[in-house]
Amino acid sequence: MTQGSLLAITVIALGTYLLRYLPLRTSYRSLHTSTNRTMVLNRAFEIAGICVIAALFLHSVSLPEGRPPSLAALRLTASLIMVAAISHAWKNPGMGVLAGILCFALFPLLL
Amino acid sequence: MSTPDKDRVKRDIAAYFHGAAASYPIVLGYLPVALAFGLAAEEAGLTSLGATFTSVTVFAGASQFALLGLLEGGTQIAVTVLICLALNVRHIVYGPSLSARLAPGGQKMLPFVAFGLTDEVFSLSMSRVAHIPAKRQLFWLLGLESAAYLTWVGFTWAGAFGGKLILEMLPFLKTTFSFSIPALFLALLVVMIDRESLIPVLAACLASGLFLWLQLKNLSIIAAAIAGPTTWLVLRRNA
Repeated sequence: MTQGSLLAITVIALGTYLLRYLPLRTSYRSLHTSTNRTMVLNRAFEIAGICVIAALFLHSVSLPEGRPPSLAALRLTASLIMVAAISHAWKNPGMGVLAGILCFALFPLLL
Repeated sequence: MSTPDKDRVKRDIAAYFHGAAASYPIVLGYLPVALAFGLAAEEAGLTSLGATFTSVTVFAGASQFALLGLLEGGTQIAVTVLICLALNVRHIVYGPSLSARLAPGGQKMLPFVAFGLTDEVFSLSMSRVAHIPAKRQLFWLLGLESAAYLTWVGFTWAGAFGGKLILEMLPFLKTTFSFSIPALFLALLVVMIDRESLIPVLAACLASGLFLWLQLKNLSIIAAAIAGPTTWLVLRRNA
Protein backbone atom coordinates (compact mmCIF):
# COMPACT_ATOMS: atom_id res chain seq x y z
CA MET A 1 0.00 0.00 0.00
CA THR A 2 1.46 3.36 -1.07
CA GLN A 3 1.48 6.57 0.96
CA GLY A 4 -1.02 8.06 -1.51
CA SER A 5 -3.46 5.18 -0.99
CA LEU A 6 -3.14 5.51 2.77
CA LEU A 7 -3.85 9.24 2.56
CA ALA A 8 -6.88 8.68 0.30
CA ILE A 9 -8.34 6.02 2.60
CA THR A 10 -7.86 8.24 5.66
CA VAL A 11 -9.49 11.30 4.06
CA ILE A 12 -12.41 9.20 2.72
CA ALA A 13 -12.89 7.65 6.17
CA LEU A 14 -12.93 11.06 7.84
CA GLY A 15 -15.24 12.57 5.19
CA THR A 16 -17.66 9.63 5.36
CA TYR A 17 -17.79 9.91 9.14
CA LEU A 18 -18.56 13.62 9.00
CA LEU A 19 -21.28 13.03 6.37
CA ARG A 20 -22.93 10.70 8.88
CA TYR A 21 -22.25 12.56 12.10
CA LEU A 22 -22.93 16.23 11.37
CA PRO A 23 -26.51 15.83 10.01
CA LEU A 24 -27.32 13.40 12.85
CA ARG A 25 -26.04 15.81 15.50
CA THR A 26 -27.72 18.87 14.02
CA SER A 27 -31.09 17.22 13.47
CA TYR A 28 -31.06 15.44 16.85
CA ARG A 29 -30.76 18.82 18.57
CA SER A 30 -33.28 20.69 16.46
CA LEU A 31 -35.96 17.98 16.15
CA HIS A 32 -36.40 17.41 19.85
CA THR A 33 -38.49 20.45 20.59
CA SER A 34 -42.25 20.12 20.56
CA THR A 35 -43.59 22.85 18.28
CA ASN A 36 -46.11 22.01 15.56
CA ARG A 37 -43.54 22.90 12.91
CA THR A 38 -40.96 20.44 14.21
CA MET A 39 -43.61 17.71 14.44
CA VAL A 40 -44.34 18.17 10.73
CA LEU A 41 -40.61 18.21 10.03
CA ASN A 42 -40.21 15.05 12.10
CA ARG A 43 -42.84 13.21 10.07
CA ALA A 44 -41.38 14.52 6.80
CA PHE A 45 -37.97 13.10 7.78
CA GLU A 46 -39.58 9.78 8.73
CA ILE A 47 -41.23 9.61 5.31
CA ALA A 48 -37.90 10.54 3.71
CA GLY A 49 -36.36 7.56 5.52
CA ILE A 50 -38.97 5.14 4.16
CA CYS A 51 -38.48 6.61 0.66
CA VAL A 52 -34.70 6.15 0.93
CA ILE A 53 -35.22 2.48 1.82
CA ALA A 54 -37.43 2.09 -1.25
CA ALA A 55 -34.69 3.67 -3.38
CA LEU A 56 -32.04 1.44 -1.82
CA PHE A 57 -34.19 -1.57 -2.72
CA LEU A 58 -34.40 -0.43 -6.34
CA HIS A 59 -30.63 0.10 -6.27
CA SER A 60 -29.78 -3.32 -4.94
CA VAL A 61 -32.15 -5.59 -6.83
CA SER A 62 -30.71 -7.30 -9.90
CA LEU A 63 -31.30 -10.46 -11.91
CA PRO A 64 -29.33 -13.40 -10.47
CA GLU A 65 -26.87 -15.40 -12.56
CA GLY A 66 -28.42 -18.33 -14.42
CA ARG A 67 -29.85 -19.41 -17.73
CA PRO A 68 -32.39 -18.86 -19.15
CA PRO A 69 -32.99 -15.28 -17.94
CA SER A 70 -36.74 -15.93 -17.61
CA LEU A 71 -36.03 -18.62 -15.03
CA ALA A 72 -33.65 -16.30 -13.17
CA ALA A 73 -36.38 -13.63 -13.17
CA LEU A 74 -38.90 -16.17 -11.85
CA ARG A 75 -36.47 -17.17 -9.08
CA LEU A 76 -35.98 -13.53 -8.09
CA THR A 77 -39.71 -12.72 -8.21
CA ALA A 78 -40.72 -15.79 -6.19
CA SER A 79 -38.11 -15.05 -3.54
CA LEU A 80 -39.10 -11.38 -3.27
CA ILE A 81 -42.79 -12.35 -2.94
CA MET A 82 -41.78 -14.76 -0.17
CA VAL A 83 -39.87 -11.96 1.63
CA ALA A 84 -42.82 -9.57 1.36
CA ALA A 85 -45.42 -12.15 2.42
CA ILE A 86 -43.54 -13.42 5.48
CA SER A 87 -42.50 -9.91 6.58
CA HIS A 88 -46.08 -8.70 6.27
CA ALA A 89 -47.65 -11.70 7.99
CA TRP A 90 -45.18 -11.87 10.90
CA LYS A 91 -44.31 -8.16 11.08
CA ASN A 92 -40.69 -9.30 11.36
CA PRO A 93 -38.20 -8.29 8.63
CA GLY A 94 -35.58 -10.78 9.86
CA MET A 95 -37.89 -13.76 9.33
CA GLY A 96 -38.82 -12.40 5.91
CA VAL A 97 -35.16 -12.20 4.89
CA LEU A 98 -34.43 -15.72 6.10
CA ALA A 99 -37.46 -17.16 4.29
CA GLY A 100 -36.47 -15.29 1.13
CA ILE A 101 -32.89 -16.55 1.22
CA LEU A 102 -34.16 -20.09 1.75
CA CYS A 103 -36.53 -19.78 -1.22
CA PHE A 104 -33.73 -18.25 -3.35
CA ALA A 105 -31.31 -21.06 -2.43
CA LEU A 106 -33.78 -23.91 -2.92
CA PHE A 107 -35.40 -22.64 -6.12
CA PRO A 108 -32.80 -24.16 -8.52
CA LEU A 109 -33.18 -27.54 -6.78
CA LEU A 110 -36.93 -27.57 -7.40
CA LEU A 111 -36.54 -27.27 -11.17
CA MET B 1 -21.84 1.31 42.47
CA SER B 2 -25.35 1.63 43.94
CA THR B 3 -28.10 -0.87 43.10
CA PRO B 4 -30.07 1.46 40.75
CA ASP B 5 -26.81 2.16 38.86
CA LYS B 6 -26.07 -1.55 38.59
CA ASP B 7 -29.57 -2.18 37.26
CA ARG B 8 -29.19 0.59 34.72
CA VAL B 9 -25.86 -0.81 33.48
CA LYS B 10 -27.41 -4.28 33.26
CA ARG B 11 -30.30 -2.95 31.18
CA ASP B 12 -27.91 -1.03 28.91
CA ILE B 13 -25.81 -4.14 28.33
CA ALA B 14 -28.95 -6.19 27.66
CA ALA B 15 -30.10 -3.58 25.12
CA TYR B 16 -26.67 -3.69 23.45
CA PHE B 17 -26.81 -7.47 23.00
CA HIS B 18 -30.45 -7.29 21.95
CA GLY B 19 -29.32 -4.92 19.18
CA ALA B 20 -26.45 -7.22 18.21
CA ALA B 21 -28.87 -10.17 17.96
CA ALA B 22 -31.26 -8.14 15.79
CA SER B 23 -28.48 -7.56 13.24
CA TYR B 24 -28.65 -11.05 11.71
CA PRO B 25 -30.27 -9.93 8.42
CA ILE B 26 -27.43 -7.43 7.97
CA VAL B 27 -24.78 -9.97 8.92
CA LEU B 28 -26.12 -12.40 6.29
CA GLY B 29 -25.90 -9.66 3.68
CA TYR B 30 -22.44 -8.40 4.62
CA LEU B 31 -20.83 -11.82 4.68
CA PRO B 32 -20.37 -12.38 0.91
CA VAL B 33 -19.88 -8.68 0.10
CA ALA B 34 -17.10 -8.28 2.68
CA LEU B 35 -15.45 -11.50 1.48
CA ALA B 36 -15.59 -10.23 -2.10
CA PHE B 37 -14.16 -6.86 -1.05
CA GLY B 38 -11.23 -8.50 0.77
CA LEU B 39 -10.54 -10.69 -2.24
CA ALA B 40 -10.79 -7.78 -4.71
CA ALA B 41 -8.57 -5.57 -2.54
CA GLU B 42 -5.88 -8.23 -2.37
CA GLU B 43 -6.03 -8.62 -6.16
CA ALA B 44 -5.88 -4.82 -6.60
CA GLY B 45 -2.58 -4.80 -4.71
CA LEU B 46 -3.86 -3.15 -1.54
CA THR B 47 -2.47 -6.02 0.63
CA SER B 48 -4.53 -7.77 3.27
CA LEU B 49 -3.54 -5.17 5.86
CA GLY B 50 -4.64 -2.34 3.54
CA ALA B 51 -7.96 -4.06 2.81
CA THR B 52 -8.67 -4.52 6.50
CA PHE B 53 -7.58 -0.95 7.29
CA THR B 54 -10.03 0.34 4.67
CA SER B 55 -12.92 -1.61 6.18
CA VAL B 56 -11.94 -0.62 9.72
CA THR B 57 -11.85 3.11 8.93
CA VAL B 58 -14.32 3.70 6.07
CA PHE B 59 -17.09 1.09 6.66
CA ALA B 60 -19.05 1.97 3.50
CA GLY B 61 -19.31 -0.80 0.90
CA ALA B 62 -19.97 1.04 -2.35
CA SER B 63 -17.25 3.65 -1.90
CA GLN B 64 -14.76 1.00 -0.80
CA PHE B 65 -15.28 -0.92 -4.06
CA ALA B 66 -15.03 2.34 -6.02
CA LEU B 67 -11.81 3.19 -4.18
CA LEU B 68 -10.27 -0.09 -5.34
CA GLY B 69 -11.18 0.57 -8.97
CA LEU B 70 -9.85 4.12 -8.84
CA LEU B 71 -6.59 3.19 -7.12
CA GLU B 72 -6.06 0.32 -9.55
CA GLY B 73 -6.69 2.64 -12.49
CA GLY B 74 -4.11 5.14 -11.23
CA THR B 75 -6.60 7.99 -10.75
CA GLN B 76 -5.28 11.08 -8.94
CA ILE B 77 -5.68 10.91 -5.17
CA ALA B 78 -7.78 14.11 -4.96
CA VAL B 79 -10.17 12.83 -7.66
CA THR B 80 -10.37 9.43 -5.94
CA VAL B 81 -11.30 11.08 -2.64
CA LEU B 82 -13.93 13.32 -4.26
CA ILE B 83 -15.60 10.46 -6.15
CA CYS B 84 -15.73 8.23 -3.07
CA LEU B 85 -17.15 11.04 -0.93
CA ALA B 86 -19.72 11.85 -3.62
CA LEU B 87 -20.83 8.21 -3.43
CA ASN B 88 -21.40 8.65 0.30
CA VAL B 89 -23.31 11.94 0.09
CA ARG B 90 -26.56 9.97 0.45
CA HIS B 91 -25.63 9.38 4.10
CA ILE B 92 -26.55 13.02 4.78
CA VAL B 93 -30.25 12.12 4.82
CA TYR B 94 -29.85 9.20 7.25
CA GLY B 95 -29.16 11.24 10.39
CA PRO B 96 -32.22 13.51 10.17
CA SER B 97 -34.55 10.58 9.30
CA LEU B 98 -33.27 8.48 12.17
CA SER B 99 -33.31 11.40 14.62
CA ALA B 100 -37.04 11.69 14.07
CA ARG B 101 -37.45 8.21 15.60
CA LEU B 102 -35.01 8.59 18.49
CA ALA B 103 -35.96 9.78 21.95
CA PRO B 104 -34.08 12.86 23.23
CA GLY B 105 -31.30 12.70 25.81
CA GLY B 106 -28.46 10.69 24.29
CA GLN B 107 -26.25 13.31 22.69
CA LYS B 108 -23.01 11.95 24.17
CA MET B 109 -23.41 8.71 22.25
CA LEU B 110 -24.12 10.27 18.86
CA PRO B 111 -20.45 10.39 17.73
CA PHE B 112 -20.24 6.59 18.17
CA VAL B 113 -23.65 5.87 16.66
CA ALA B 114 -22.87 8.01 13.60
CA PHE B 115 -19.83 5.93 12.65
CA GLY B 116 -21.85 2.78 11.97
CA LEU B 117 -24.74 4.39 10.10
CA THR B 118 -24.51 2.41 6.85
CA ASP B 119 -27.39 1.86 4.37
CA GLU B 120 -28.39 -1.41 5.98
CA VAL B 121 -28.00 -0.29 9.61
CA PHE B 122 -30.03 2.83 8.86
CA SER B 123 -32.82 0.82 7.22
CA LEU B 124 -33.09 -1.80 9.94
CA SER B 125 -32.92 0.73 12.76
CA MET B 126 -35.63 2.87 11.12
CA SER B 127 -38.07 -0.03 11.41
CA ARG B 128 -37.12 -1.23 14.89
CA VAL B 129 -35.72 1.57 17.01
CA ALA B 130 -39.10 3.13 17.86
CA HIS B 131 -40.10 -0.14 19.59
CA ILE B 132 -37.08 -0.02 21.92
CA PRO B 133 -37.52 1.74 25.31
CA ALA B 134 -36.41 5.36 24.95
CA LYS B 135 -33.45 5.18 27.34
CA ARG B 136 -32.05 2.03 25.68
CA GLN B 137 -32.36 3.05 22.03
CA LEU B 138 -28.79 4.21 21.52
CA PHE B 139 -27.31 1.14 23.27
CA TRP B 140 -29.50 -1.08 21.08
CA LEU B 141 -28.31 0.86 18.02
CA LEU B 142 -24.67 0.50 19.08
CA GLY B 143 -25.16 -3.27 19.47
CA LEU B 144 -26.69 -3.49 16.00
CA GLU B 145 -23.84 -1.46 14.51
CA SER B 146 -21.11 -3.36 16.35
CA ALA B 147 -22.27 -6.74 15.04
CA ALA B 148 -22.54 -5.37 11.49
CA TYR B 149 -19.13 -3.69 11.78
CA LEU B 150 -17.37 -6.76 13.17
CA THR B 151 -18.84 -8.89 10.38
CA TRP B 152 -17.73 -6.36 7.77
CA VAL B 153 -14.18 -6.09 9.12
CA GLY B 154 -13.81 -9.78 9.97
CA PHE B 155 -14.95 -11.03 6.58
CA THR B 156 -12.88 -8.41 4.74
CA TRP B 157 -9.87 -9.83 6.52
CA ALA B 158 -10.98 -13.41 5.75
CA GLY B 159 -11.53 -12.48 2.11
CA ALA B 160 -8.11 -10.88 1.80
CA PHE B 161 -6.40 -13.90 3.33
CA GLY B 162 -8.42 -16.79 1.94
CA GLY B 163 -11.35 -15.45 -0.05
CA LYS B 164 -10.50 -17.39 -3.19
CA LEU B 165 -10.40 -20.66 -1.27
CA ILE B 166 -13.65 -19.96 0.61
CA LEU B 167 -15.58 -19.06 -2.56
CA GLU B 168 -14.14 -22.10 -4.41
CA MET B 169 -15.22 -24.40 -1.57
CA LEU B 170 -18.66 -22.80 -1.16
CA PRO B 171 -19.60 -21.37 -4.58
CA PHE B 172 -23.29 -20.99 -3.65
CA LEU B 173 -22.36 -18.55 -0.88
CA LYS B 174 -21.84 -15.54 -3.13
CA THR B 175 -25.06 -15.87 -5.15
CA THR B 176 -27.36 -16.96 -2.36
CA PHE B 177 -26.33 -14.49 0.29
CA SER B 178 -26.07 -11.62 -2.19
CA PHE B 179 -29.87 -11.82 -2.36
CA SER B 180 -30.10 -10.90 1.31
CA ILE B 181 -29.38 -7.17 0.71
CA PRO B 182 -32.40 -6.50 -1.58
CA ALA B 183 -34.41 -8.90 0.60
CA LEU B 184 -33.57 -6.84 3.67
CA PHE B 185 -34.62 -3.55 2.06
CA LEU B 186 -37.89 -5.06 0.79
CA ALA B 187 -38.72 -6.64 4.15
CA LEU B 188 -38.13 -3.33 5.95
CA LEU B 189 -40.23 -1.47 3.41
CA VAL B 190 -43.14 -3.89 3.84
CA VAL B 191 -43.02 -3.52 7.63
CA MET B 192 -42.70 0.28 7.65
CA ILE B 193 -45.00 1.44 4.89
CA ASP B 194 -48.45 2.71 5.93
CA ARG B 195 -51.40 4.38 4.22
CA GLU B 196 -49.98 7.86 4.71
CA SER B 197 -46.57 7.03 3.23
CA LEU B 198 -47.75 4.86 0.29
CA ILE B 199 -48.15 7.62 -2.33
CA PRO B 200 -44.96 9.47 -1.26
CA VAL B 201 -43.04 6.16 -1.53
CA LEU B 202 -44.45 5.55 -5.02
CA ALA B 203 -43.38 9.08 -6.03
CA ALA B 204 -39.94 8.43 -4.55
CA CYS B 205 -39.66 5.16 -6.51
CA LEU B 206 -40.58 6.98 -9.72
CA ALA B 207 -37.96 9.68 -9.09
CA SER B 208 -35.35 7.13 -8.09
CA GLY B 209 -36.16 4.93 -11.10
CA LEU B 210 -35.77 7.89 -13.43
CA PHE B 211 -32.30 8.67 -12.06
CA LEU B 212 -31.31 4.99 -12.25
CA TRP B 213 -32.46 4.93 -15.87
CA LEU B 214 -30.28 8.01 -16.51
CA GLN B 215 -27.34 6.09 -14.98
CA LEU B 216 -27.14 8.57 -12.08
CA LYS B 217 -27.20 5.87 -9.43
CA ASN B 218 -26.03 7.86 -6.47
CA LEU B 219 -28.33 10.81 -7.10
CA SER B 220 -31.29 8.44 -7.20
CA ILE B 221 -31.20 8.09 -3.40
CA ILE B 222 -31.18 11.85 -2.87
CA ALA B 223 -33.98 12.20 -5.46
CA ALA B 224 -36.11 9.72 -3.51
CA ALA B 225 -35.40 11.53 -0.24
CA ILE B 226 -36.61 14.79 -1.76
CA ALA B 227 -39.52 13.54 -3.92
CA GLY B 228 -41.18 11.47 -1.18
CA PRO B 229 -41.54 14.09 1.59
CA THR B 230 -42.35 16.80 -0.98
CA THR B 231 -45.26 14.69 -2.25
CA TRP B 232 -46.38 14.11 1.34
CA LEU B 233 -46.29 17.86 2.10
CA VAL B 234 -48.29 18.64 -1.06
CA LEU B 235 -50.89 15.98 -0.24
CA ARG B 236 -51.08 17.20 3.35
CA ARG B 237 -51.65 20.79 2.24
CA ASN B 238 -54.42 19.76 -0.20
CA ALA B 239 -56.16 17.45 2.26
